[in-house]
Amino acid sequence: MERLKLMLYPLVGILLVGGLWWIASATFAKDLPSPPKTWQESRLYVMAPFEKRGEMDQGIGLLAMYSLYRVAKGFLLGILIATPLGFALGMSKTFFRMMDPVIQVLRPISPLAWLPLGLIIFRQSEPAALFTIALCSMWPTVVNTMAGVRAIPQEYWNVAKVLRLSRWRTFTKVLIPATLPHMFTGYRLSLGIAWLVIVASEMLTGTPGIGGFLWQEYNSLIYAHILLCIVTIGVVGFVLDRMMGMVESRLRAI
Amino acid sequence: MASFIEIVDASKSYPNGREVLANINLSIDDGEFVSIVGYSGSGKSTLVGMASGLFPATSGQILINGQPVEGFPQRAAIVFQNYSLLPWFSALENVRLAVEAAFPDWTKQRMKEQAQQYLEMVGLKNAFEKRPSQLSGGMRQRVAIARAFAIEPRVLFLDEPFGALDALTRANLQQELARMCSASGRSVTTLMITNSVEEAILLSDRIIPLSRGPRATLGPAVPVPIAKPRSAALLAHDDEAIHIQARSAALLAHDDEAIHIQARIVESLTGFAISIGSARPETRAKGRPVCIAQEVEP
Repeated sequence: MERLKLMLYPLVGILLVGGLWWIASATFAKDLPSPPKTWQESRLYVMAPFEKRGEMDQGIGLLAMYSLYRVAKGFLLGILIATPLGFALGMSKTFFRMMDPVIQVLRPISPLAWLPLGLIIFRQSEPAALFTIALCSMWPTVVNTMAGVRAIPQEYWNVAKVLRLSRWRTFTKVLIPATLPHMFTGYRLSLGIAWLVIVASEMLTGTPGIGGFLWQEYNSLIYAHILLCIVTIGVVGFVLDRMMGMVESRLRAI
Repeated sequence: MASFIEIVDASKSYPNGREVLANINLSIDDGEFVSIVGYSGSGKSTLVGMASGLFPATSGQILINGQPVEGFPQRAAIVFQNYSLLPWFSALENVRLAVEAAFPDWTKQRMKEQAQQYLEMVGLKNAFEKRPSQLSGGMRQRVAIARAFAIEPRVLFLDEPFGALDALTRANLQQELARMCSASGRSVTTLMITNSVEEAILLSDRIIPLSRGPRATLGPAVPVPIAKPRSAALLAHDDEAIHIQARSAALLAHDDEAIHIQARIVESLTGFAISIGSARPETRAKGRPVCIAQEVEP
């Protein structure tokens, strides 16, 4: 019974929002396709998710894969920069005082602002997209890693001192394991942002992917596909977050 | 015997100006076991932190084996009250990390064997792969003791090592520690901080009271010349216990706190004699001078 409830409640929620969507499409938003119409027009893309018919005309699974691949690259680049930066900020007060204002200013800048800059610097859309994803997604990792280093109890530092561990040993045996759970919280949040940014960067660069497809279909007036993209982006983002959350909770269990 | 640990006129103040320790003078012989007994909050942990070079003294000098202390010395070990194990490593890995750092030239195999050997010595043969979170408080402290002895230390600092344990576990581990000290076969110079006079008598060669802070300082020492290893039962057959009572009574200083602590030492020694005495009436008679402590109180 409890299990049934657990399954039922989210379903009710989904139906509720779907109902609102339907009502909106039937009343004031005449251009908004209703749920059945959306399904009808999206069937091909969902039922054959990995079929390639043209540059942009591809199954939704394939499009999502392109986007995921791009996000993965941008996200990895981001955390490769962010993790050492976070450690440095956590360990050095001087460096923190130097960089904190810069970080606080850079952090709230929208991907829509970074992308043109990336295009100017790299002159190509792909590196510009990666640049944008990396720059936007790195901050939670920076901040969380820094907080993690600062939160290491004196006790562990004492162990390193007492055992006379070398700097490298202290780093690998004490600092990294102690910071790992915080780091992964940062990674999870960063991945969320990276996925958020993908749509914007693909829209503006017109590269094949879920965001590029969305923008193209908007321009081709096929509004049902916009909704298909939105749902897909949401589902993929949710799955990503859950996966990272599982890794994170395993690390916290230690 | 040459003194192995030498603290000369040391003091420690915190940045807020509070002077925790003042005029600390202490000399510990090679292989000697000295206990500092004091109230909680009197700066005992600060004393051991300073003596072991975990943080610098504000003034004065600390020498270990003739060398001024800068940072935690080589071939020294410390056991903290809060175990201080790394939770992401197993018991074996915790001990092995210490061995690796102390003997970098050894082969991996030898490091592992050394760690295993010392864990076996503290009775943790079946807990090699357990994480600290899977172990009880007493077992964690056993790991910490194994870690301390595994580096074959010449100096051992014990910062209220059994303070976090329940009474039964505490008594067990005290015996365990006494056994480890004598079993190591090397001379280990030990400085223990404790708030338990009984514990101090059981383990040390000399007991020194620390007055209540701020500006805490050491009182006159009370030697404990009773053969080791000791246990409540063994102390029963030893007349020295009574001798120490008289001695500590004579040593009572002008400091009220010192008087108080020494009175407690006397009391607890008497307590030993009495608890033993109930089994052996003849020692009970000798263990009588309980009142010494009260007589000297101002």
